[in-house]
Order: sequence, then C-alpha cells, then structure tokens
Amino acid sequence: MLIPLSWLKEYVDIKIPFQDLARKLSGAGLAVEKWEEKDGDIIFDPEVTPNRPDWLSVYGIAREIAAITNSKLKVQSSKSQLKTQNLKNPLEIKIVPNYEIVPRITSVIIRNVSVKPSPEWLQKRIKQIGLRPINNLVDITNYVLWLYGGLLHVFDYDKIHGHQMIVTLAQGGEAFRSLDGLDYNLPKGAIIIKDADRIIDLLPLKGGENTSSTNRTKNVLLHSVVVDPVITRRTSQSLGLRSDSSAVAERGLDPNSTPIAVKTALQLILECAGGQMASEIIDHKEKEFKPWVVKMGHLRQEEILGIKISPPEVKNIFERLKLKTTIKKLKNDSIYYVTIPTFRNDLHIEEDLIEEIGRIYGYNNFPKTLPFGPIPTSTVAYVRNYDLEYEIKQILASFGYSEIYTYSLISEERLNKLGIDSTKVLRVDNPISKDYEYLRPKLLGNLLEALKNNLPNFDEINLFELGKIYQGETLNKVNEKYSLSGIISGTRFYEAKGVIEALAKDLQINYNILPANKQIIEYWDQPNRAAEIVSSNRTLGYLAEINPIMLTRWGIKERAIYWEINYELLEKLVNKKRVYRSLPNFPATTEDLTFTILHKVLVGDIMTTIKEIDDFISTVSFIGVYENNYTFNISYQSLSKTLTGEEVAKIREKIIKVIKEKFQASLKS
Amino acid sequence: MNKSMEEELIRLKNDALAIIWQTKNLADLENLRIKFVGKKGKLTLLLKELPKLEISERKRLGILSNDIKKAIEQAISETKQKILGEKTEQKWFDVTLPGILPPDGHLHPITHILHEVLDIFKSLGYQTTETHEIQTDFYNFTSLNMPADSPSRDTQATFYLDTRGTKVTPGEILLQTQVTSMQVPIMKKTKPPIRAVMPGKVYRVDSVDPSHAFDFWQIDGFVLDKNIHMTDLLGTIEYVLRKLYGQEIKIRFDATNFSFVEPGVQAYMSCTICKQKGCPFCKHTGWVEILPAGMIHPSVIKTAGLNPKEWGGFAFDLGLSRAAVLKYQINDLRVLTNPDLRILRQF
Repeated sequence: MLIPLSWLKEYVDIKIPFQDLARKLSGAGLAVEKWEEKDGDIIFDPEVTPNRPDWLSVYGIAREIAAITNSKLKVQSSKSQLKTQNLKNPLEIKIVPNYEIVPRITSVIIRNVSVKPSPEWLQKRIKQIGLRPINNLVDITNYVLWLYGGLLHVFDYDKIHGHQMIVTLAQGGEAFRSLDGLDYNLPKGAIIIKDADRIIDLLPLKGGENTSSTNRTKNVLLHSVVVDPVITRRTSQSLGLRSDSSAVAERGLDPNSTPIAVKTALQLILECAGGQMASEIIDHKEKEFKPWVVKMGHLRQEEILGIKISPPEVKNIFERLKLKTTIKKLKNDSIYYVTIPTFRNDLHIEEDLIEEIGRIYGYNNFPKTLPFGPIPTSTVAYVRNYDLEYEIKQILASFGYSEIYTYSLISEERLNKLGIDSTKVLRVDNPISKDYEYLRPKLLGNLLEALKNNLPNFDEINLFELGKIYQGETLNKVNEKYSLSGIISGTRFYEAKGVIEALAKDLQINYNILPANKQIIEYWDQPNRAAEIVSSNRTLGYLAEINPIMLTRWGIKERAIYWEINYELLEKLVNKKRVYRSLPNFPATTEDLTFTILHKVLVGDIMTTIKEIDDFISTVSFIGVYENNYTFNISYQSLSKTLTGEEVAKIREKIIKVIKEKFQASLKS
Repeated sequence: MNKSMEEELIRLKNDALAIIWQTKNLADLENLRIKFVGKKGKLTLLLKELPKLEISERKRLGILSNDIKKAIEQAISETKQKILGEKTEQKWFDVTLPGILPPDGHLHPITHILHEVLDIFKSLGYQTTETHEIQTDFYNFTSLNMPADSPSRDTQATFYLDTRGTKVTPGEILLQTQVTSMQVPIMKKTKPPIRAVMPGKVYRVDSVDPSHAFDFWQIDGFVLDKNIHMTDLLGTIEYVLRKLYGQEIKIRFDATNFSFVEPGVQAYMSCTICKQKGCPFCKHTGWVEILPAGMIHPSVIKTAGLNPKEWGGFAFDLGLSRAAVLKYQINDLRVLTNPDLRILRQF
C-alpha cells in the first residue's frame, strides 16, 4: 500500500527527515523499508502486519506518527456540516441487512451527479497511490478507502431493481459479472447483495457490472460496509481475489469506519460531481459499537518487559496512542484501566497493552540481560542427540565422504526409476511441480542423482546423507525416520565395507555383515553383491553394489556401491562407554596357518569358526588367498600365563581338525 | 720366505682395500680397521714377523708394510668420509611437490552452522529436540494462536498431505511450515522450567530461485520459566548473534507481530555480505532480518495446559539456511540443496 508523505503531512506535523521517520515507524512495528522519491514527494511502501488494519490507511499511519514523534494529530475531516435542505423528494431504498455477516451498512443516495474525470488534485493522489484515475465517483471511493480504511462502493441507483438491497450469502455456483467485466462463479457462503432480481454486489471484493456507474449515471447510492473478516478471507482466497479492500476487511474493519467514510465521500462527491443528497444517511447497524476497557497491572508489565518505567510514563504512552487511561493505585501495584477505541481491534488482553509500551518505548532502548535462575536439569521431551549425529558425520568426512542435503520431495519419475510403486508413497496434495510431489521413502534416488551429476567432474566420489525418510503407505501409518546412506563410485565394495566397519568399531557396535537374504534383496541390489548389516539379530542396514540395470536407468555408466543404515537403530546400539582393559602381562604367540580349500567358501565363516574354537585365540585376521590357499594370522594369548609350546600346539591341532571337517580343507604345510 | 711375506703383505693390502671401499656403514668399517690395523690385526701380526728377517729385508719390508698401513688407514678414512658424506650431503629433494592428501571429505554448510549454533545454546543451558516434518494443522498453526482463516497464515503457504483413502480430513496433516510446531508438544510433555532449541526442515509453497526455496532449515528455541523478561530475550539474541557472527556486527530490534508471541520483535543484523555498503542480499538497506522473536503468548501457554500467570517465557526463530547464507556469503539459496562436490569441498 503506497502512502505519500505529503498526504500524511495533512494530518500530522512531521519535522524529522523522512528516513528518520521511516526508521522510527519500523522500530514501532510498521516496517517502512521501501520508498520512492517522486515529483518532489516521498512515497512510502510500508509492510503492514496482519494485526493492524488501522495502518492500512493514511489517517491510521498519521495517528501512529503522532504517537511515536509525540506530535499533534489533526482531527478527522468532514468539518462542513452536510446540508440536507434538498431532501424534498427523497429517493427510496429498502435495505435488508444481515448483521451476522455484515454488522454495519451505512448508505446515502445522491441525485443529479455528473460523472466525469476527477479534479487534478484528486487524480494526482490516485496516481501517487499506484491506481489509475477512472472517474470522479470511483476515484473518491478509492481516496476515502486510502484515507480512512473505510470500504465504499457507488451504485447507479436507477439500475437497482425494485430499489431494494438484500444482504445474504451465496448458495454457491451463481454467476456474477463484476464492474470490470470479469465473470465469477461464486463460492458458497460469499457475502452478496441482491436487488429484486439479481446479484448486484460481491462484498467487499467487487461491485456488479449490472449496477455500476457509467457516464450516463445520474443518481447514485453510496454505501460503506463492515463485513465478517473470516468469510471475506475465504471468499477472496477461493476466487484468488486480493485487493486493498480485502486486505483491510480480512484484518477486521473498524465498525465505526462507515459513517466517517460515507460522510467524507459524500462531501467530496458533492464537491466534485455536483448533485444533491436524496436521502438521509441511512445507518443499519447491529448495535452501538463502543470502546472497551482493558485492565493492565504495572507489576505484570514490569515482569514481562523487564524495564523500569513509571506509571505516568506508561499513561503518557497510552494517551499518545489515543488510549484513554486511568490509574488506580494499590498498595504494591498500579492498575491501568485503558479504554480501547474501535479502530484498535488488536488490543484485548493485558499483554497487548504491554506490547504497546514496549514498542513505543523502543526495544533498542531496552537493557540486555540473560535469563536469571538455575539451568533446567530435567530432560526435555523429544530430546535428540545432535552431538552423536555430528560425531558420526565427522567420522564419515574423515574417511573421505562428503555430506549432501537433498530435497525430501521427489518426483514420481524418480520413484518409478527406483522401482517403487508411487501409490504406496506419501504425497503432497498441492506440489509446486511434478518434480517435487512425493515424500522420499529412501535416500537412494537422490544419492544416485548426486553421483551422476558429479561424475563428469570427479574420478572418485564418496557421498553420504543423513536425512529423514518417510514411510508408511498412508497417513494413518506415517513413519518419519532418519536414514544414513552413502554412495561411492566404482567397484570399491570393500572400501565401503571398511568404512562401515570402522564406524561400527568407533561407536562400539557389535555387528556382522552377511550375504543378504535372497528374500530381501531389493530391486536395486546386484544380487550376489549385496550384504546385510546385522546387529543383535536386527537389520542395521544394507551394503550392496547397485544393479547395473538400475544404474542404466539413471544414465550412470560407471558402477557404484550403496549403503544404508537404519539410523534410529544405530542410535540405540551406540555404546559411548569406554572401559579400559589393562595391557596383557604375558606375550602372545602368533603364527600363520594356510588352508587349501577347493570349493567356494566365505572367509567370514572360517574366521568366525576359528575365533570360537578356543578362548586362548585372541585374534584371527585374514592375510589373503592365493590359488585356493587361504592364509590366516592367529594369535594365542592367555591373560594369566605364558602359553607353552605344547598348549599352543593343542589349540592349533583343534583348529586344523575343525576347519578340515567343516570346510573340507587341508592344511598346507 | 721373504718373497712370500712380501706377497702376503701385498695380498693383505689388496684384500683390505677392496673390502674397505665396498663398505657402506661405519660399524663395518670400524670392524675392518680392527681386523687389519688393530692391535691384534692382520698387519700388526705380520709385522711381528719382521725382526726374524735380515736387516736389508727388514728395512725394505718395514717401509713397505708402513706404506700398506698408511694406505689402509687412508682408505678407511676416505671411506668414512664417503659414508658420512652420503648421509649429510643434500640429495635433490623437492619440498614443493604436492603432499599426499588424506581422504577428502566435507560436511555440509548447514551441518557446520547447526553445530555452531547448538554449541552456543548448549553453553546457555538449552537442550536440543527433534521436530516432526509431518505435522498436524493443530500444532503447526492453531496451537500457536493461528486459527484457520487467520491472515497470519498468509505468509506460510502450506503443503498438505494427500488424504485420499484415509479418514483424515483434507488439510489436517501438513508439512511443518515452522519448527515452532514443536513448542506446544514439548511444553505439554516437559515439566517446566524448560530451555529448548528445535532444529528442523520446514516447507512452504514457494518457487525455487536464488532467493526462494520450498524447503529450508530453521532452529527455534524457547524458555519457559518464572520471571522471564523481554530484556532476557534481547540479551540472548545479542549474545547468540555475536557468538555466531563476531563482536563487530550491529544489531537492531524492531517491534513486529507474530501470533504466538506478545510482544513480538524482529532482530536485524548489519549485512555481513556487504558490510552495510548495500547489496542485493540486504536489498540495499545494509540490514538483514535474522531472528524474529517475542514473549510467548499467554494463549499458547494455556493451550499447553499451563497457567500463563505462573509460567512465562520467550521464543525465537533463527533461519538456519539464511544464517548459513550470511555466514558463508552464499549468493544463491539453491547452493544449499545442490549436491555438487565442487560446492561441498569449499566447506
């Protein structure tokens, strides 16, 4: 909403430079960050918060300026008394109000107007506020809307069938053509005015073409309304109609805005379009709209703001804001009784008034403190261990992985490429595009895409993401959880495995990496190169070479290894406790044993088997395989004595026997 | 006899010199010295035979053996110099050759800034919580004093989840538009006093361009206690921003309105990108909006089942994506969601 500085100056003395004024207004909550210097004037473009309909008007802003600069506000206009001597042949209108939806409707009829271009001063104002001058009647309604925030509309009186106006709600589906020639299909519950036959107004958004004023119009009906803000918002949203009028109406109109708006517009019409009043000012209202009183305690104010301010200063701030205040002194406190005018519908509770003190006092003048009192010791609900997350990420980065953050919303196409049925994936109803429609059930797709995009620039790529995935086919079974997944280029399966092993070791998680069960090998796995990471009989994750078919779908010509870890399970398995074990007092005996095994065998199985043969076997490691000869390095150690050659020989014999039998192996001498 | 002794002396010399010149280390060389010219060395033993010879022979062979001793000693000395020389002499060595790099991994800028922010809040006694991206309308809006049809919802265009095939009312389940959605759930389940920060990803219906995104990171925090003032909020904001951006930044507070606080403030910080000279990022104002905040609205405390006369506090919200952009002078928000290693390797 554009506000010319010269217009503000008609209502309040402004002695400070406009930049300082803008700064002060912003500090008090009316953000004036943008302005334009135009033809010797300054045009402010303030941003008005949803709680302040009164700031959507020149007069409202002038009132704020008067308060923050402590200067005098000129009284609202309509100084001349409206002459009613021409009411010899009054024109009739029958208005049927509906106070539930339109609490107030104030009207007047004027005869013999001349519709013509506005005088120059008015056209200038209309242009300054970013509108196009149309004719004197329309320009005047816009002028008064800007000045006082009152909603006005002019009807061609002679076109109102039956000279009756019935306020009601649309049934839904009615056709309506607005005065700017656009056709609307009205939503159910929109506020409308009907004459004897037709819909003539969509309140407060658009007047009807059927009763709009034209150059031939002679007699007009001018009215100003107060409408229900919620209905207005719904209607304007469903029709996609946002206007300056709807902005004021949605925030809540001042119920006492209609008489002043009508009187001001009437006077201007008589001045600029001639004519005479053909009716009294007809004011239909639900009730008298009276100011209300809000009580505020001085101690409460001190508790919330934390500043020292005296009761007279508080009273002064309120009075500058046109809030009449009386103070009642108690023994330990002072109570303020503050009268709230109807244009301040944002002030209802004690805290609202406290905010008025704060913003006029100026937050930049507040001292800065930190909360006093003990730091809470009980664990907060929904606590999450971000330190662990950071530690894990750092470990992965130290192993050469780079962290990525990708979109949680992905396309159906991406799901299809992953072989995931999109009907079983959570979806947003109003995606911004097809590219961002489904909530990712897996990180794999985004990692593949990231790999692909990096391949032209890098030979070796290691990426990981720790992010949310969203499972559960329907909303009833939503399961939003963390997944930790990585992807690396090439066939470096054992490098990927090594990273997982090192991570597990660092976090002290017992695990086993086994060939993945055929039942659970998914579409993306390369069947004989897929492993399952198992811990405490639960699946901690998967590690696999990606199926070449899948890679082809993504247009990736290289091979790639992927791993994913159920992060929430990982969090539970992590053991941060470190217990020192003293160094062994007795030396270990170490030797290599080589077995010849002629058929395919899992080295992991052999190692596990050896380890379990005797308690004195302290470590088993795999040295390598050469032409069916598998070499293991075995350490024998006791914590309580030095093992003798005979003792070691006994264990060795046991190993040879077990491995021979279990794996049809022979010891290579 | 004499002839043979002469031959023996010469052979000894040849043997000794051959071995000495081949020697590569000082210990072996010392052994050789002992072996040939030591007190019980071969040459010494041979010389002990000299007195048995005729005078003329004794003289001739005496001179010869003396020469041989000198030759061996010289060879030892030269070899010693050679060995020492090899150790100390500068072989060609290029320190400017590139180092062998350890694996090159990097954390995401959001992770970096989140860690920094959490560290600061931890030092102030805050605990960190989870947030739920899939959230109910109630906790995201209504519980925060933003009822349906309130214009305060306008700035938070919302993604709603598809409810087909469920009994859920359309519009009921959404993607959180603000991590503030965790405030009431936390308050409901935690016995005050509370100091909590809640980082998370939020979603708003918006286009994707250099300054807009439909998802971004936020961290909210709140304190619920007795006797908490606006001055505590302002002090906390100032402390956190200075820790994060340095003591030299300027901070300004404007009044503003958010439904879930009363009073509300907006913290502005001097633009770290242009140092207040004016740039597109701060829209040439020299200031950037960084932290909206306020005193928790009594109706929010009531909704959480607590008595607002007994408990009060403040709440604030820091846009992490925005904070990262400011911290690392990123000129395009899309950089944060672009998994390009050429970007990631800068962090």
